[in-house]
Amino acid sequence: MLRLADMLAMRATPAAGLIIEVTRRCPLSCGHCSTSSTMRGSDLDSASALQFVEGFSRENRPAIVSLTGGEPLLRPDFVKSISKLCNAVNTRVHLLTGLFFARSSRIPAPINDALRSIDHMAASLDRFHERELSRERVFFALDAVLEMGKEVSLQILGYDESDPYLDDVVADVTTRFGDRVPMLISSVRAIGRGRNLEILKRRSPSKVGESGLSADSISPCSMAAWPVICSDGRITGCCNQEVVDGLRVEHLTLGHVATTNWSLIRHKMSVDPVLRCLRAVGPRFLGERTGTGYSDSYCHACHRLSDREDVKETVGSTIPAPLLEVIEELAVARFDDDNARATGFADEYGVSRFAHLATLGR
Amino acid sequence: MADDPKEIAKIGDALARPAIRKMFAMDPIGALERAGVNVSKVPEATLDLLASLQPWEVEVLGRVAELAKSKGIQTMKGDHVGVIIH
Repeated sequence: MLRLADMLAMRATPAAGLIIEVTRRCPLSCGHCSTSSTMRGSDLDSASALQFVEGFSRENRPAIVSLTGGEPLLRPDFVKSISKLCNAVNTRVHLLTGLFFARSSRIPAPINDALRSIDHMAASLDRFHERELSRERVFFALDAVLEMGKEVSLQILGYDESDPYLDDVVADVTTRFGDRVPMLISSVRAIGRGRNLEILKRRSPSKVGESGLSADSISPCSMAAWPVICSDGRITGCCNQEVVDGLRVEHLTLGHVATTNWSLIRHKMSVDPVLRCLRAVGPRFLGERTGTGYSDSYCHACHRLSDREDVKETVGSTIPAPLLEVIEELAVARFDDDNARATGFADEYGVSRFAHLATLGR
Repeated sequence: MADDPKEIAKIGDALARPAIRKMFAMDPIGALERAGVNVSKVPEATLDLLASLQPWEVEVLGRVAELAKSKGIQTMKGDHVGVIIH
């Protein structure tokens, strides 16, 4: 069993999870798609990815593998193969889908089998997806997967915190499913095709920080925790879309799926000094301290750290080891239960007033 | 580090308060005790480590603790999308 709250509770834990971008292809054409996916995208090489997952053992494995895309269910056999390997070592499989298959009255057999092989299906639901697939068809798919005995959740997007669409869809989901379908609710970002959305272009830019140690310079990054196998085989230490799309950032580049293994990647995620500092204090503080500068964009501040050729040495020594240790210990001690961790995550990375919906069903 | 996570969490809560941080600079143990930390439950090595921190390090630790207290340790909205957004 893998609930949404289990996953969110572990999201900030280094190497607790592994994200696999199964494909960049997707048959839907959602106007906000962060990955700009079309049916012309590339697939992750099966052989090297399977070999990588074969390297998991019961003693050394991610707790969760998250299959994403594009649309991972365009490759149902690959999903089944990954799931089989994960199940053998007790790694749980999460899959994020746009539910393209729910356009048909019945779920096609290969996809049905793939869904039976995973532990948790997360489905996207927002006004853009609803232009591709009706809400009723989304509910049909959720019903079908719940009936398989699987955990499901929804990833719902609105324009902003006050978007009435969110209230409407949350009411609909809770009326239909009670507390059986937890929801992670956040806002559309100007990434991928989302860059073209007029409503996002009108948003005022975030405040540019002042020089020196600005008020928001301490801002730990929880995303530099789970590695990502990108569809081109690169393995990155972060799921930032520009990096996943191919932007070369030295300190976030961990290797290639064909030439490394889980043990090495896990080790790097856990001990790499730059990643540890990013998780402890975030990129803005590191930028200010090392001279690569403050950036209006949180993630660009991180990317710019690699402007320094000696990024590993310089950034890695910004936070003395004892302080780093105390900060990491604080992070672990802060919450004594998974629901609090999950709600904290949903609150910070999603829409605060709906954060509690991430733990429904527990 | 401490064996008792609750006491460590209390240390975080204490250092999240700017007034305690000021006191901490002059009297680390006294400041923690005044903030309700049971220092007898905190290993000596941890106390030594805390007491050895430079003022700027205490400030950084305190800021992280403030964020941890108010929002959880996850504190910044980046444009990460891999798992959060399809």
